[in-house]
Amino acid sequence: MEDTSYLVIDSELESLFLRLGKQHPEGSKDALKIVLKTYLKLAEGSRRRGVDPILSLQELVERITSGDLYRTTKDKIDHLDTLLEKKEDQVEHLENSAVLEEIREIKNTIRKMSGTASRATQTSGLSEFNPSDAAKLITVEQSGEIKKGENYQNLRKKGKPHKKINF
Amino acid sequence: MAANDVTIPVGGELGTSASKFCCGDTVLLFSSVVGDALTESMENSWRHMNRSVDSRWIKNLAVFDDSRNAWRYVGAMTRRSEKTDWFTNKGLISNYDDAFVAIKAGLFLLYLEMEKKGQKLDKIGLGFGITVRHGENVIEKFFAYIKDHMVARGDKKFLIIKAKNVALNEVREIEIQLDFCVMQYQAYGAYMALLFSKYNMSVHNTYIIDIGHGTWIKLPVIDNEAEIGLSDSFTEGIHTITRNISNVIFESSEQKFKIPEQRLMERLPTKDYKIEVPGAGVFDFSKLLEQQTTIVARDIGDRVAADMATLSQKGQSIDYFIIIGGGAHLLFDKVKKNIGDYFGWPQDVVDQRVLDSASTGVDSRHINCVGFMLLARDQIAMDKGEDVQPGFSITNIVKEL
Repeated sequence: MEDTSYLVIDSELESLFLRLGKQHPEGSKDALKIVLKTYLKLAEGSRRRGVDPILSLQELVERITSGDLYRTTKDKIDHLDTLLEKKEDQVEHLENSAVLEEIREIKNTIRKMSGTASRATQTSGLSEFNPSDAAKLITVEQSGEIKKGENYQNLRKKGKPHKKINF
Repeated sequence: MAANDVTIPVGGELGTSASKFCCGDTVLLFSSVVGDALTESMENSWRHMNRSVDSRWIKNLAVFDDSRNAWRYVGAMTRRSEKTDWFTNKGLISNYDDAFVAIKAGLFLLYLEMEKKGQKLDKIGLGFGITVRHGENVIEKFFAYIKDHMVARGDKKFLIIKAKNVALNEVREIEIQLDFCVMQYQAYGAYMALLFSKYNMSVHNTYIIDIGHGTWIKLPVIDNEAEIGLSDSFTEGIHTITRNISNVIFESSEQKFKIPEQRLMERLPTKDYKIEVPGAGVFDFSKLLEQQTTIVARDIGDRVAADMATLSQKGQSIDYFIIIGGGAHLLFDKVKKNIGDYFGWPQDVVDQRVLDSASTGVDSRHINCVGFMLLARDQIAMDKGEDVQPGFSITNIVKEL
């Protein structure tokens, strides 16, 4: 029986996808397709290596949204190696053609996106974002204290009236 | 000033299972169903055979339907009807004639309750709850329909309501001047009730989860206004849970026994989760109930989480969550936990921020209706250019059974 894979998108991942769509409007559909396809193929390998597949996917999306699918040539080789590793148990000619197909798809996608990525980076103002500190999490206010809201008696006088029908 | 110049605030909503009307300290509930009346001779026979000692109007009500020129039974009395129609289908008004009969029935019964207290319900302002899916235009058309069916005297419009107590064979005709109707989305009533009680008239962003019989509704209220973009109703409620349990019992008994959902539903408030399957023994559905409620609560939690992400992108946040409706007693703990888990709140913060209707002193089934009465009260005060008086106390609840 064929394995079924489920992709659960949380709010963070959703915002990553939104960024992907905004920054690469032309290539976003293809990019998303290849990301999902790659994810599904890498999921099992990731699990085997003890890596959370969602984190792998997040990293992949992050790379694409930053306009750089592979940060280094080594990254690219590693990725393609992983694809090859996946195919090791399969018949050789099928393996090669499948992997070559993967490589071709990825190359095409990168080529498509390379045109939009530089433009998107310029327009989005990300080039001006040069953080010097290490990334850190914001401390979230966990107290139950709730600020007192505006007084309704005053607000109702200046607010929109209720929908009213006179008889 | 004549007594009938005073506009009395009344709240009303037509729910999928029960319709509720509220005035002063009184809330009344009756099943949201209307049915054809028996023929006069059949009705006479029934009256002779009827052994019930409950001859209250709410239990034995018929309202004269001018559009059909016939009596229609309402609520509990429809058990004698051959054909019945629910006022709403999946939360939407199905038929204007039926919904009009429902409003007449509600106002007539309220009139009688007020009369018992020596108060007059001659002139009213109605706060009315509508579903998000209706949209304002549909409701405007409905009230235009009501306008057309009212009697005009000068610049005033009156509802003439002719009703019959079928058990006592007593007919009464009353008239009520309808001054205005203010409308808001159904769950907004709960916000008004919170505003006038717990919030002490301070505005707080509130997320209302209203779990009813056939549907559940989500409605964020941001800066005192319903966030329509994030509001929706879903056809999941207690009915979904009991239907699924009923199906499982049916399947596990090799399709021999079908337990009516109503029988399961009756057991929920008393936490009696055992039911006798004829010839097969006693079936304990507590585990099934646990599973089903977990699924619905998870669905609610997921949708709430998605809305929180959307609101946060707009820089908005929610101060309080409130879980109300007839299904709140079943799902409150689970939904509350899901919300707490989403935010990662410690228990004391969850307790402070995720509320049930007890924080307003009103039952979770009635809270919207009470809120609509407050909405009408607010409108009356606004028309006079006055501050609205906060505070309310519901002490008289009138039900069919």
